[in-house]
Amino acid sequence: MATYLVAAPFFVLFGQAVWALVSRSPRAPLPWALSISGGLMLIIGYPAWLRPGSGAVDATSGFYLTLLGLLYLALGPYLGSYLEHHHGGRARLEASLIPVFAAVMAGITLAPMGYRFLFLWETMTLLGYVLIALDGAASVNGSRWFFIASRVSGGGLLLALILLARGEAIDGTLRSLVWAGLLIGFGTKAALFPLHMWLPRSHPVAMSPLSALLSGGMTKLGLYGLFRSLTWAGSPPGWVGWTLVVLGLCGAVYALLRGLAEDDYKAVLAYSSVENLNLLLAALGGYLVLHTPLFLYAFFVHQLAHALFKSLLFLASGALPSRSLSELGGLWKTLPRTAAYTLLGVVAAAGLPPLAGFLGEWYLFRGFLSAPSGSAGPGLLVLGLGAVALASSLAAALYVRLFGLAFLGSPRSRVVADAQDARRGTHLGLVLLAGPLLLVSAFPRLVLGAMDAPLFPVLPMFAAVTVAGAGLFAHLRGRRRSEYGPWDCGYGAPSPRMQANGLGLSEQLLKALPLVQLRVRSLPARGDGREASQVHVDVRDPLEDAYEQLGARYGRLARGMQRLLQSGSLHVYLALQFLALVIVLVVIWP
Amino acid sequence: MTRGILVAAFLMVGRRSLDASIRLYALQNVFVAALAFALADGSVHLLVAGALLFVVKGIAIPWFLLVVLERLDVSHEIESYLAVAPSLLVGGLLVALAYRLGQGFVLAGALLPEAVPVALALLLLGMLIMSTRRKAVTQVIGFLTLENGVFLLALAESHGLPLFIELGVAIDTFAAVVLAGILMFRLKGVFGHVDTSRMRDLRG
Repeated sequence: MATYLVAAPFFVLFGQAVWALVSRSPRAPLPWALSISGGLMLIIGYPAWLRPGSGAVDATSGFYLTLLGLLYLALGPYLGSYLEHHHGGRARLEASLIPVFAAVMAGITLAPMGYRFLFLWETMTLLGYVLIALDGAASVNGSRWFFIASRVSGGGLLLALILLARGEAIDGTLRSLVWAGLLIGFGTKAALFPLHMWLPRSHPVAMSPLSALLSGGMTKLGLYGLFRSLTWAGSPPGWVGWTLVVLGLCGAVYALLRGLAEDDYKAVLAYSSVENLNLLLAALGGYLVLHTPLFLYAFFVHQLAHALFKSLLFLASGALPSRSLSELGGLWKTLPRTAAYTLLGVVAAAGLPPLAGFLGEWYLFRGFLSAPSGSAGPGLLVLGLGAVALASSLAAALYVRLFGLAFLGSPRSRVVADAQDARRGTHLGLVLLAGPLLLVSAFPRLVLGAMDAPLFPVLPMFAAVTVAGAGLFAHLRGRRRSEYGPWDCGYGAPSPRMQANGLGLSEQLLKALPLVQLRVRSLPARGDGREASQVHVDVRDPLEDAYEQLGARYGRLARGMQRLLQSGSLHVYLALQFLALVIVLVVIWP
Repeated sequence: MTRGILVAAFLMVGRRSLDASIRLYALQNVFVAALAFALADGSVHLLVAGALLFVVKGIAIPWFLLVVLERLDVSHEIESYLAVAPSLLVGGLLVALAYRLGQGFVLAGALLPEAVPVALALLLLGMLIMSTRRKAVTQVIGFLTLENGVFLLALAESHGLPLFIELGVAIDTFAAVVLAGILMFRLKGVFGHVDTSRMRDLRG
């Protein structure tokens, strides 16, 4: 019975995929299919996570099924109304491929180690690539980055899984090799620091629901893979944990700085995803070094929280009239619903206390504090405390800037006036994400039930913050507005030109930290001068430059190899075969 | 006799005349056929295979190649990327390699263990001829030498392949050579030469 139940969501999703290919109205049952399968995954996964050993799946699979189920549940109604303006072949393809993508992601959490897992993994990355590329010319570059990253990831995994699938005992160098493969394979998907470059390029160009699915769901599977590897490959060698901690913490700070310099609304969200994922990787690394469960609490709580608030933010961003921050502004008035949900997501993402985003950070702090003092090795982990503190304050700055620029102030361009607020379906999708987010924030035991974790008094804090906030709001509202005096220095009628530009809130901060170099120049004013001044921001990033040089060098090498291998000369082809024969003979020589 | 095969193949690398190369190829096959007869020990299967070898590869194919060469109306000189001395040097190295590696490839119960390195040497020398000579005819000769190596390996390691496969391979080889002959006539007709090193424009 239980096995049939596990198969049910997959049947629903594949049924929708087939329906979309053959039916006249391919999109009609898509919301239902996604939501029903999401609900079924919740029914399967959540009890298994809460009471390990009770369900048809194990606890880890149960957790990730719960996470994905929540996402699908909300994504169903959202997609139903979001896809309304897509027509023809593209709509058919999307209505067919999105369910398959969803099913494959869920399948990964259930697949046993080996070729089946690898097959599902590659299918997932391929489908992700196709779905991003469906958006047309604007997304070509981003989808290519996605594809290249998936090759890197697939290469690492192939190496590791082939070594593991032989079933022999692995130790010494071989164990290090396996773990290096796993780190590259799963780390790339989870945006581990130097391998994260694809994420901020590919996720923003996808359509909003897909961004939510990628950032909220797919990247978590990289973390799932790493966590699962602990059972597949046995305990890792010592350097793995340290690598994860160091790279994760560096990556979190780097991604935030880079996000502060970004003008693209969704790219800021994507950089924030990189930051959160790197913190999660650091949490896993901390667990591997210290073996304190505090890091595991952080790992699981923050994953669920991040999936919820990041999906909420991405879904809400679907209503924005433009992706460029220097064109937005004052959306609070035109898009009140979107603004409210974004505010909730932003507060959670910035890690402010009562919401779930804070809880993960709190466990992370406590985890790093629990490092034994005195000893040179693991004791050094205390230093992680500073990095986490820096990251959480930078995250707050990032989200204050994001929300301030997009929703507060006055419009920076005309596009804002035509914006349309969330309709019924999209609204329902947002509610379905915001609800669980608030629920998990108020009752963290819902997630941590099985783990018996220490908690700060969440509910009183929740109540206190809510009451204090409401009081402050009422107080400010009731205060009399100040009159303009005669000497108000020209600010009597503030125009959009007077407010901060797209970089105004973060430029000074970035100049203080010399990690990215900025070149800002203003563009000539448009129209009658009533619109905000436009700035062109040129971000130079040493890491990106290094990647670009690497890419160019690889391109030259590939072209050279191509000239050599595909020269058209029969004799070169024959000589290469000859060489191959001799090499094979020498290699297989007994 | 295995020595004879090797010497015939090795001399092919050193000769500059196409006619001599083809005759050396014929000689090679006569030796292989004789080897098959010697190993036959009354078994019909090897006798048939040897006879077939002698007729098809020892007489028919060389004769066909000589006729093609005559009709093609090109110079009978071998044009090579490697001069004679370096060719012999590389050939010698390859034979040495074959002898070094060949010992390891002998299966248990092999009929003729000492022929295994020779078969490998034939394979390598055939590849060498194919990849360094410029005329299409020499590529055919190189391929045939390589094919001989495969046959010899089968003969040396086991009691030969099943007769039907042997038959099929012999007819296959002959068909391939005939096709190559036709192709060479077409090449000559279209380009006016059969120099494969001058055909390097990629299409499509």
